Amino acid sequence: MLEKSSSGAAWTPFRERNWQLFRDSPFYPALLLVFVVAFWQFVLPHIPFLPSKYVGSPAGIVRSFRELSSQGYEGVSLIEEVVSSVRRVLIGFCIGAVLATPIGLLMGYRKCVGRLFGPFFGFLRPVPALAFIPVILIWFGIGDAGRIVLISMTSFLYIVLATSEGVAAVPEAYLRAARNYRLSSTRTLLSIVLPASLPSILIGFRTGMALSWAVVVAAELIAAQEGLGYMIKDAATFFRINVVYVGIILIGLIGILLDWLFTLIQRRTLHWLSK
Amino acid sequence: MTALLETGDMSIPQSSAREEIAPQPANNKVVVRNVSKQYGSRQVLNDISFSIPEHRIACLVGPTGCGKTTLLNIIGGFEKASAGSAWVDGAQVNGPSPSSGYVSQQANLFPWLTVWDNVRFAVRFGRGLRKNWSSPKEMDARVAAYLERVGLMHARDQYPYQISGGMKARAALGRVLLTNPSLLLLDEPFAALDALTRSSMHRLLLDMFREDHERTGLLITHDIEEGLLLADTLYVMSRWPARIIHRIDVPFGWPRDYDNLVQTPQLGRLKHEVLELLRPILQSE
Repeated sequence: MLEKSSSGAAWTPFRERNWQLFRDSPFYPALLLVFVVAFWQFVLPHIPFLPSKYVGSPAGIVRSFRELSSQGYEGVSLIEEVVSSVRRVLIGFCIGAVLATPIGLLMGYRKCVGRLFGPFFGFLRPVPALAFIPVILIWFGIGDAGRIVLISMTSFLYIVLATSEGVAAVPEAYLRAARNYRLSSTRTLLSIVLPASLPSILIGFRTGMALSWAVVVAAELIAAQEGLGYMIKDAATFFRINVVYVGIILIGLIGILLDWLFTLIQRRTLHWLSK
Repeated sequence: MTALLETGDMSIPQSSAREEIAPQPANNKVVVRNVSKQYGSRQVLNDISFSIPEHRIACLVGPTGCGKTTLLNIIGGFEKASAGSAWVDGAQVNGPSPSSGYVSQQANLFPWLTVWDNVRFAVRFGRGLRKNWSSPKEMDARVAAYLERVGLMHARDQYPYQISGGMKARAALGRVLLTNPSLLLLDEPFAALDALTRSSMHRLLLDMFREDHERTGLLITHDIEEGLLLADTLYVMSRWPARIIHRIDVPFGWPRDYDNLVQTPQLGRLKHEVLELLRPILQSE
């Protein structure tokens, strides 16, 4: 079936246009979700070699979520578990970002600083944060301090390198303008270098936040008495598999929410980018 | 030694580059003396000497990549010469100075600032430029006046991505002129613009030069007509290692009226003659 376009210049296949509209709508990615949920609920339980106590089910997850929402987990409400994890991430991330941004700016702006710290941070960045957990446990004990240090370190390493790379990529023409107008070093840094490298800094923030979230859960799996990571580990020990899935889903949703917040900040702050 | 090309009533006074060696008269705004520039083993500029008198506009034309921008950068203090020296206002150039206003092909407006803030940037933060204003109010009044002058007052709150290429060029020009530079360094400032917008920029510049004829400038362009319209002297550069091989005095006086000039048959004839001069250089590429 063909339909004439409004301009009258060309004929657009009606079905193809509808398909394009559907593909761009939020219903399209939801299709996969619906398929996975249906498969999980109706097909997986009937596969003989998969014990249902390991697989769980969407209906069971919903049930567990209701129970957790009303009764909490092991005397701690679900909200408290979530807040506990989010609080650690935010504190750790903020400490990392506050330290990393000025150091990264200096590393990019002053070559001598960049050459001094760059290889060291570059060496640390690919080392998985989990590898530091035993050392941090020894240094800071099993309290919150160690987990926050671990998160700070993770976000710090990503933000510091993203910032210094952003500063190094500031167009020469902008710096030339600064020299032409005899701007002071501080003014050049604040009024030209910082805004010009902001896209890179915010990418570092976004990556740092995503990794911080991943690290907090891992840290709580090892040594914590509350938080989503603790809830998952504890529930798994007693085969409460639907509770484990509730924890995993909440971690994913909060991760998406945090990423969405950063995307929003990026769009607002960097409205001038790529236009 | 000046030779006149036979062009009827309007002819181009031109001379060879060798006549320009060691210029040093007192009334020269810019003096370039035996400047050479080498990048590694590649020599880009070779023993270049010329001068620009006060309140005159000079133009450098030549093949792409011959080193025109390098020469302008040396005069602007953005690069150092390997040999020889550049002088502005009788002082050897050791670095960029706010008395030189630089405009390039990419308007280089800061994309995170509005047109207003871009134009105001230099006078707000530039060392030695801030003291020209007794109060922020006075500064803002001058910014507004310059935005009016370049026809951008209506776009003052827009960001660079929201305005056209011509408007960006106007904003860049306004930003530089507001600093009141005694020397304008124009590095193909309108090369990225379409023909219509470029002609409107030529008109704007000529109007500005008419109002303020105390400006000295150095223009780099590939557009011969642009050079003839805006400059007093054209310097023709060879391929690298570049030398100045012709100096052409443009026989149009000041003030210049764009609409009258573009209609005169002399402009077309002069353009043709300059192109004839450039032909052997371009053919040797």
